[in-house]
Amino acid sequence: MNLLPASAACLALGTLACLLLRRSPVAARSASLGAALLGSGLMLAASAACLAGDAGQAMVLPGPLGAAGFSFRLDPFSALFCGLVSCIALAASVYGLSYASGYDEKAAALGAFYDLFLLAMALVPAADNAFSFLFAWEAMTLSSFFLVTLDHEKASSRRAGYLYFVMSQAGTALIFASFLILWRAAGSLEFAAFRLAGPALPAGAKSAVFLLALAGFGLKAGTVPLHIWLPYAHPAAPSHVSALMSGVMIKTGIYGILLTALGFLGGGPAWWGGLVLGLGAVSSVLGVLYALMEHDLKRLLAFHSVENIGIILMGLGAGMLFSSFELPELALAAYAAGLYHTVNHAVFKSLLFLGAGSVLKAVGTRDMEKMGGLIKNMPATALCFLVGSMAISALPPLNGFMSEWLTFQSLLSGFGLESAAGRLGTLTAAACLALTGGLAAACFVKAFGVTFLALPRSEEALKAVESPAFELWAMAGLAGSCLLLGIMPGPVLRLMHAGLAPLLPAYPLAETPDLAAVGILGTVHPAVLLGMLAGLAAAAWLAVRLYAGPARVRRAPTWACGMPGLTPRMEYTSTAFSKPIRLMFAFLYKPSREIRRERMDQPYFPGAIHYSTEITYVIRERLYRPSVRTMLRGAHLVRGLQAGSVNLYLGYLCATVTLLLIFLIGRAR
Amino acid sequence: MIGVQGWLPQAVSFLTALALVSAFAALSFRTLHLVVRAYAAQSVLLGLAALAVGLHKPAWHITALALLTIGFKGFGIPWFLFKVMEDVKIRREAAPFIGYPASLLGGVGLTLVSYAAVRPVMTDSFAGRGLALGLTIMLLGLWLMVGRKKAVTQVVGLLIVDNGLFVAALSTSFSMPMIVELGLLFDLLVGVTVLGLLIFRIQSTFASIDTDRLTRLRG
Amino acid sequence: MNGCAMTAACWFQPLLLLLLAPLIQGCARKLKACLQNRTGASVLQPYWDLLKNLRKEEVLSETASPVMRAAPYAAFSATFLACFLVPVLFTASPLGFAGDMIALVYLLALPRFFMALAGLDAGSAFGGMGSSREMMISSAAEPALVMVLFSAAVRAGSTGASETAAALAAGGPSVLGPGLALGFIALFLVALAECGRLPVDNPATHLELTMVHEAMILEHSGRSLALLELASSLKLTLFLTLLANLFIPWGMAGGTEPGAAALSAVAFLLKLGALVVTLSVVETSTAKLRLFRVPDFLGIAFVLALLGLLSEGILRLGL
Repeated sequence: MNLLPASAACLALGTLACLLLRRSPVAARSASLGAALLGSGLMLAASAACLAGDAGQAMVLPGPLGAAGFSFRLDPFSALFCGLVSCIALAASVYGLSYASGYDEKAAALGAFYDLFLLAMALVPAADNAFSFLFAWEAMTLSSFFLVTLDHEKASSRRAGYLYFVMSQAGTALIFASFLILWRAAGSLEFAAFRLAGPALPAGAKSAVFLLALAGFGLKAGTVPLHIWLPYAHPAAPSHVSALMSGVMIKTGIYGILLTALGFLGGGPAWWGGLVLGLGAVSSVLGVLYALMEHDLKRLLAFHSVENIGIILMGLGAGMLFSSFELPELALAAYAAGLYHTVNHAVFKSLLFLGAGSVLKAVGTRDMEKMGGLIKNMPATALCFLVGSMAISALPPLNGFMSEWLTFQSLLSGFGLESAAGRLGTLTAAACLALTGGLAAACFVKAFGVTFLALPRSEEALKAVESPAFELWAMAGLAGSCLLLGIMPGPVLRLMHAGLAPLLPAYPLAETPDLAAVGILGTVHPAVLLGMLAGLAAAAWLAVRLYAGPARVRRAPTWACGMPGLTPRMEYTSTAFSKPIRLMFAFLYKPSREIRRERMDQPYFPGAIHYSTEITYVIRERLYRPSVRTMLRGAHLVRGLQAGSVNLYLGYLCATVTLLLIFLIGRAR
Repeated sequence: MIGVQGWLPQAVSFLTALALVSAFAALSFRTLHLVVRAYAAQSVLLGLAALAVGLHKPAWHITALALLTIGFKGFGIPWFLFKVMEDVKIRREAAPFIGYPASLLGGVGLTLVSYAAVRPVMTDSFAGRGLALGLTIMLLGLWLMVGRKKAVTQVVGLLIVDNGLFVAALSTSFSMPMIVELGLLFDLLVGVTVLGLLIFRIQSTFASIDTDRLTRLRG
Repeated sequence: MNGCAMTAACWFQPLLLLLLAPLIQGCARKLKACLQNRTGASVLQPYWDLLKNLRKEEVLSETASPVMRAAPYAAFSATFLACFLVPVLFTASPLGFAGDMIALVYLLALPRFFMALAGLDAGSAFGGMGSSREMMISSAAEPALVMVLFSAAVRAGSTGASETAAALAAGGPSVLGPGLALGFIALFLVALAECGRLPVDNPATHLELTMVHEAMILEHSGRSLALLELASSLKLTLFLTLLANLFIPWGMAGGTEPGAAALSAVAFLLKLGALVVTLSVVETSTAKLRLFRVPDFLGIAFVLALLGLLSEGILRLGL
């Protein structure tokens, strides 16, 4: 049964209903989330049907351009992404059932753009021609722009939205240019024609298409150095929207890169793979390094998206490298690792954003320095956030571990490449991945520890209450998925292989057992690891109990160096926690600090001390600022033309027309 | 290649690889004593490699040279440098031009470069490796001189360059004409003595042995 | 029958490590004491400490949450599980099929993660300081550790610890080469950092500003402390075992013939003993590094591991 039109109609109707019901926030909210749940459910069913072999999930509408109408069709590769979008959308919508009530004064706008956003995001991978793709892509960008600027009273939201909008438009322009080259070659906007014409392009044009697409889609995915919008835009939106943006919207960039590089162009030379691998390595290390310096909980998570996109790109880049060396088995394993991490990141990152949303609602701030001790009042939220933190830190046996392990296996198998440059590249990437892993664990010890443990650092944190049931269900569902995706690598890998089949038609499919992940050079059974961990912990508990009897515990205050009573001000803060790393990477951060002391009349009892520290964002300062400055200087030069006199402007017009005419005369001869 | 059988290549490549490690150690130490010790260890390792060659052939002049190298470079020069350091009372390299992690990674880069450079020229694997290793050690010595300020470290850098030369000669031809090597040793003796005196002069003139102070001597 | 004996012998290996762990710690302490002209406690003292601590009442901070009570069990079980993945006396390990050396690295991150959280949980500045420093050291150590294990894996063509050890043990004297030496030194340096030994961290200090690992577990007492102490001595034993079996690969038994097994046991104990002596000498003869010199120290380990890899796998230089 063709469920795609029904799902799209559902979401579109939800958008309309919200606009009609804008007088009643409750009605608008219910309509929007009801439509979102139903629409996403239908979309998930459509994707599942497609992955099960039903090729009939399609939707064709007449478009304004006659020849190229709206045409959407699911193939297994797009179904993978559509399904992922719908799964996360389901969780975010369940969460929204209680969370969105905090936005009731803007319920209609939130609801309408939310449904539109979901619709557009699901249709991007489903698009079957360039026109529909770009239409859905722009709809996705615009609707998310309005969601980012929902709090438009805040200057920070407006600024984030503006940056997001400008960067996104630049990205779309690059994608447009890339499609234009393909269109010239194919003579049609249909993706089927692109697939035929792409591999036949001359090498230079092929590389141009690839580079334009990599830049355009990479911008959406948030790869360094095109990531600067991401850490500002994602946190500004309501948290369930942030979860969608960080969890799945940036993945449409990954979809686009794979679609262009493999689907349209049919693979390329080794340097493409090397470039993607390098971008991945740089993104992952810089992403996690900047995340460590954040004390805004949501922005910390947003920087981690940059990191994880880097890990995904490492897998894909290794795959492209192996493809170019004609090593189909290795390539397939590497692509599957990249896609696996795409799915995993979607799940744990949306979980973390939802958790951050609940914390934000409870405490009223995103600043971690004002949190603390939340585990006492919000134990369930804390547990879910802990699972997410462990997953993103790649601790076994959760899902992040599985995909990072597979990525490591792929990179390690690159050590057998014929080319020394290829071996060095994979080696460097593996070192970067190892560094990223260690730093990510440090960052999430900080995020979880400072937010949920020890003493509350503010009144609000002390009075926080547990999240409502809908929020907890959504988070618990995602946390459970983290565990399931972690211990059942076999079915997931089979799904990835099925998804990759349309892109890599000639590749042999690997055998995958259910509970084990088989890498090129080793295997891992995460379920056994989980069982053993639980078993050994239980055995240890039992053995201790048998030897020494039941635990005798006395509660006493923490030793506070002889001061009367521990206060939250004695605790390690987020800034303090990351200080060793700030100093270790001082060459990159170029930190500056300012210490101001008040009243120093008594040397042994100083008054208040103000301490502030700041780091420098190298890419923004060294790359963007100079180019913006150059642009402004150019604009300043051109400003001489703008004298304010109407006559002069008419003169420009006249001169332009005359010049054009002269040009035409020249052409005619 | 003559004499490249049995345990010899393995022993020589093992010892010379450790010599490479000691070059890296010299790059990574802050304390000048340790830098000099790293050089001493490197010289002893190379001397042992030469000794292995000499005993394997057997050739008395290589054996003698090996013992001379161990004694002179492994103990004599380090002793002299220790004495100089004691007199000028300098212990550590406080602020190098190039930071320690950066100089280590730069060292790895130089290793890659020299191996890439030697590969097309040398086809014979054992000699090629030796030449590449020698070149690497020379470059590392030079890199040490580039990155540090203290005159003592720079002298050690120069001595490491000489050791690199020794490796290259040893593994490409399994020998070095006696007279050339003796000449080299003598040159080193004169060189180190002159540099030692120079360190005294720098110290007494500028109250520091940072060579960047020498920029003040510009006319 | 032989298969049965093999399985039993395999499952005995992690238990052996568990039993040996306090002894290794005791020996290291005793040797250090001797080298410093002190008498030192008996080598069995860690066992008595352990048993005593298990029976003692636990004092728990009023601020602490369940994380603090769960952390010792998580830390112990993950460290002990790691022992099931490595070969000890025989080249086979009981759960080698379930996790390779990459999984081992991640598995060892699990105890650290929970201990660091528990360090923050009590709310004292010491715990936070310990956690923060420990995470910094471990994140600098991880690339070096991964590179070292890769250099062994590349040589054997497998990331499985058992397969690697078997391939190296079968190679005989021919595997002795620069790669092995470089890897050994690198892993030794990483082990010093990972296990909180001098010159990175001083396991004997309880001076406020110099603690790292000890600061992190400062608020634990009673059975929690016992489990954490056991986990950290187990981790040291695990690293020494890795050093002994991956980088001094001679003498391991492939099967369970009594003769080979006995030989392998003797060889293993000798290697372990030599490593403990080396450790004590290094710890006695070096001063603790300043915290911000630790990344440089681990940078050296990383570069050595990298050179080892370059020599064997990447450039096939053979140095």
